[in-house]
Amino acid sequence: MTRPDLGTIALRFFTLLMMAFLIFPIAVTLVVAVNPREFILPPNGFTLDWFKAAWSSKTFLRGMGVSLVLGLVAATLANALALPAAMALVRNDFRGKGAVNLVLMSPLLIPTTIFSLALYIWFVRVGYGSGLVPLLVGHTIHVMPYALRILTASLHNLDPSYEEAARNVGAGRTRTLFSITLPVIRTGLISSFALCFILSWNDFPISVFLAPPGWTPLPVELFSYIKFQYDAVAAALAGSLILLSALAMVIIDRLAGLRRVLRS
Amino acid sequence: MTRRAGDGRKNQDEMQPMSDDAIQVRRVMKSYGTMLAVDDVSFNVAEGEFVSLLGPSGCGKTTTLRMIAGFTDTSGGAIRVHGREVTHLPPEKRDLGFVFQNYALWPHMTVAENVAFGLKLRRKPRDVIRNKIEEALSVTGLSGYEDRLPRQLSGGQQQRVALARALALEPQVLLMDEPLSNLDRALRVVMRRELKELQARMKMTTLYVTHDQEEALSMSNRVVIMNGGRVEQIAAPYELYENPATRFVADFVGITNFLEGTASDMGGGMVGVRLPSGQVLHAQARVPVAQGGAVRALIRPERVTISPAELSGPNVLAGRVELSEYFGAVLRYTVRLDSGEILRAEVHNFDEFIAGGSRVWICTLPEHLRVIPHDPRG
Repeated sequence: MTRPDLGTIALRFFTLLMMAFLIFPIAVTLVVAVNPREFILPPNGFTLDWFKAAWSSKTFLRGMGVSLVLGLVAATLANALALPAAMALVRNDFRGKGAVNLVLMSPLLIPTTIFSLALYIWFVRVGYGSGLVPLLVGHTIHVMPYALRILTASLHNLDPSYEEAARNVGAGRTRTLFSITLPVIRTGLISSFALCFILSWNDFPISVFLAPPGWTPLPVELFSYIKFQYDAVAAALAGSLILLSALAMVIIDRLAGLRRVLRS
Repeated sequence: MTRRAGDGRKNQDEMQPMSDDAIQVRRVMKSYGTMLAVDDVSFNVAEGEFVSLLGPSGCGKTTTLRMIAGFTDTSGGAIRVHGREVTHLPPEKRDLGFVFQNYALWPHMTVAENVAFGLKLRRKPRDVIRNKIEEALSVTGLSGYEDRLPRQLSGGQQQRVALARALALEPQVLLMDEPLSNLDRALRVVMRRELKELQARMKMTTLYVTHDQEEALSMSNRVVIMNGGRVEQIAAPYELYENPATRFVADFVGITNFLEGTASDMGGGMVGVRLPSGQVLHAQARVPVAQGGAVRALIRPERVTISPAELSGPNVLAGRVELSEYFGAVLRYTVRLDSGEILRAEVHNFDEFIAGGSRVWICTLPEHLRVIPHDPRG
């Protein structure tokens, strides 16, 4: 057996340290969520009471419902808009292509709070204020650049001869899009959709400015809750979301192969 | 040099009576900005014929094929398939088979689904589709592979699926873009024979793009040699090798020695090439050359006699062996002529080995000497 050299040992140590660093906050959240004492460490027992409280809160369940619908619709709209834009950018060279790309990516460059405030002011000016449409528009614009990036990369990697071969055997443009292009870039589409959903799900600033009464997404509800309550219900809710995300990862892995999604 | 197809001439070409050629390419052009990728290319492919587009990379052969398939727009000219003008039709309306260099098998579909896709688009009944898949796969030797995905197949098998996919639709014409270039050499030779045999059996009109002269010469009825976006020569393989029309063709197809000189008519179907040394080579006149014009004499390395003893006659050139290389079946000599030029010679049936540094005499028969006009392009 060969003894690992100093460099290997250092690398292993550093890797473990990094993993601990990443996992620590998640572990604390989960520990707090099952600790009977409110936010006092070390834990002195095990309880699921906080989870029960979190999952029986009508406010949280409603917030979760709103965030779910919002995330699904925003991710769908963003991908529906980003796909044709990505196709136009990947397949054509035209004057002002760089400028078009910059404009489409610009939501990334503007701080979300500023962007949300500006959007709110604009919607007030045109006579809307906050509302379901402004909320959806805000979320869609916010996540669209990410969809554009992922889909652009997918289409770059797509061999044009796949589509040419389909056209050659008699498929029109639409048929080629649905039978060849979309299935071939499927992993990119799934990862783009998942990322857009997660970004929308986690968004706070846009929702604060634009969500109408009765349509408060979960992060905003959570924030209002911890402003006034000091107990571990919030931690239990956060813990639930962490476990749900892990479950979602497993499902995506089964669906598309997580490694391929992450690589695309 | 930029030229544009004059409208008058184009119309005149279109007025020509329809021939029954399977493919007619008329004065086709493709420009990218100021660059002419395809410059006034015309040729025909007859029904059942196997024609190759041969040339170095960047010569416009693939662009020409892609314009026929409809993947690339033309900048001018016309393309007809069985008399039907297809120049501006989208690819799906052209009814042409196409085999891609990288096969372009759809990765999310099985072999059977790849073959079936075009048949389903044509709304064929289910049992007809099943029969056609079976037939196409058996013709290409792929029976039993129906449910495999493309990534589970070897390169050669993928190549066969690509061919089966094209053949299942019974296209009017089969277009192939370097279909064998991604295979290793041994497989390439096997597939080349199979492809040619299949094409001949099905009498499939085929236009084949390749940069491999061996492929083009061995498979084709006729070869279109392209260079720099233009057609250099269209001829049967034998004609191409024996009677190259330009220096490019002579150089690209096989190895050729060039000797520069001026032409003089000698009568009786003979033409003389006066070399700078004053010596006059005798050649059979095959292409018209202007009296006193600059010409090149072409000598194929295997069409010479090389001797260490002095030879006499009109076409004898003296020199010294610079290099002699032994390859078993063939001996290759590099000879420095007394006039300073290098001449390559190949000997297949040899009893003696002439060592480097030896004085030699090289002789070529007038019927083996070709003369082409001196082309200012090189």
